[in-house]
Amino acid sequence: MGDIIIRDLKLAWRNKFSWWQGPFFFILFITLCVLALNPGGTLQTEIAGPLIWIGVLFSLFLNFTSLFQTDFQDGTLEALQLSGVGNLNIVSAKAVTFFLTSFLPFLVILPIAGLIMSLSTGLISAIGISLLVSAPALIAYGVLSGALLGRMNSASFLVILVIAPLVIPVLIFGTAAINSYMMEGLRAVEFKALLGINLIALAIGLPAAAAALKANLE
Amino acid sequence: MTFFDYKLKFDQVAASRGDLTLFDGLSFELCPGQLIWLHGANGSGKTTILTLATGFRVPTSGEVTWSETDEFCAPEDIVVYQGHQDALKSDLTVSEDLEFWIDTYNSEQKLSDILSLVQLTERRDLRCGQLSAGQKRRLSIARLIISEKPVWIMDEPMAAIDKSGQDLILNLITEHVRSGGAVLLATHRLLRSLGISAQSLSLELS
Repeated sequence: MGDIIIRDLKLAWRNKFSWWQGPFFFILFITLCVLALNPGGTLQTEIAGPLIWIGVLFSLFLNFTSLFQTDFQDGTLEALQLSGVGNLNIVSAKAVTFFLTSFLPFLVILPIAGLIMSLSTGLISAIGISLLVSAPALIAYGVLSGALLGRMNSASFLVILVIAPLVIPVLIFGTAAINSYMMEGLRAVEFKALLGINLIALAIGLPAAAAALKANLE
Repeated sequence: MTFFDYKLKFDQVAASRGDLTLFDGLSFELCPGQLIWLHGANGSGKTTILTLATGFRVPTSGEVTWSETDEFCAPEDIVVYQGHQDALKSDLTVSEDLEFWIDTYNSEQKLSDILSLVQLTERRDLRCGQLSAGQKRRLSIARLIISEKPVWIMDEPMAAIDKSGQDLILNLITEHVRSGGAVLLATHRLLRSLGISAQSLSLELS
């Protein structure tokens, strides 16, 4: 598993465009939202958090399609399956790599989104924490959709159809956790709900993704 | 490399593609020191047999079994597969690609020995995407050697490869078979005319 993570990090480092297309789309989305909703002013706290969340989600959707696509196309997945690594290890390695190369960049550029939207540091921190706590569920469902649709070209739209119903609870509790964090910190009930969602997503999403990989090779 | 006793067995296997039955009642065994050469027209089911042998595909009827020292095992215990694609990453160097597979397979093979076997020592720092089709194929075969698995399943290993490249690949296959390995190979080329003795399995379009 560690070998796959190191290899994929190396590949991602050499193909830097893959790191930044999501964050670039995200910043563009945020900028357009600000221009459309309240040019020159400050966005209301109530809508800033959900807007950032939706921007991150749509940017992540862009990357989920390509999670397994090249491995399917170049024969790497067939080779890995017969190497005895195990599909669960393969999808877990992909999840870790995805977090490091596609999720963390969003947290790094979150202050830029805050500047564009004129948000307070406290609110940006709360949004960052809510995204970070929700990361396991978002990535587990993303890995599942990537494994299900990995062989299809132009599967972005299907990814959204597959994953959207799954991420709705994460979105609801994640956005609700922003305000709760500012009042109660990590003890807020939304974080406990997100923890439960994470456990369910990891327990179902990763094994289902492993099974989908096997089925897709038939 | 020493291999234990192993066997890949097709027992009355049938496979279909949609409503079309590709073949029915196919039975054969692949044992140590054997090379089985599949040939036939495009669409006759060669690749289907190979994917059945890897366990990626399940037969419509009949049974495919893998065994080691007379006990059933999983395909990945004895089989390694070289498909139409070379399983290479364009942005990795030749050395990095081989090191990845050496680590993944926990292989005892040495990088320098493998590079020398597939005659890619001078290309070790080149990225895989910069290699020619023949060099990529040789690098892909290096993965089979690294795996230390006895059964090589190969789909058109000599496609788009020049004469010297073909000779090298045939030598590697011959060496593997002589050392107790086994190969199930699909190719349009006439192996016998290239000096390899193999059992042939001819497939016809259904």
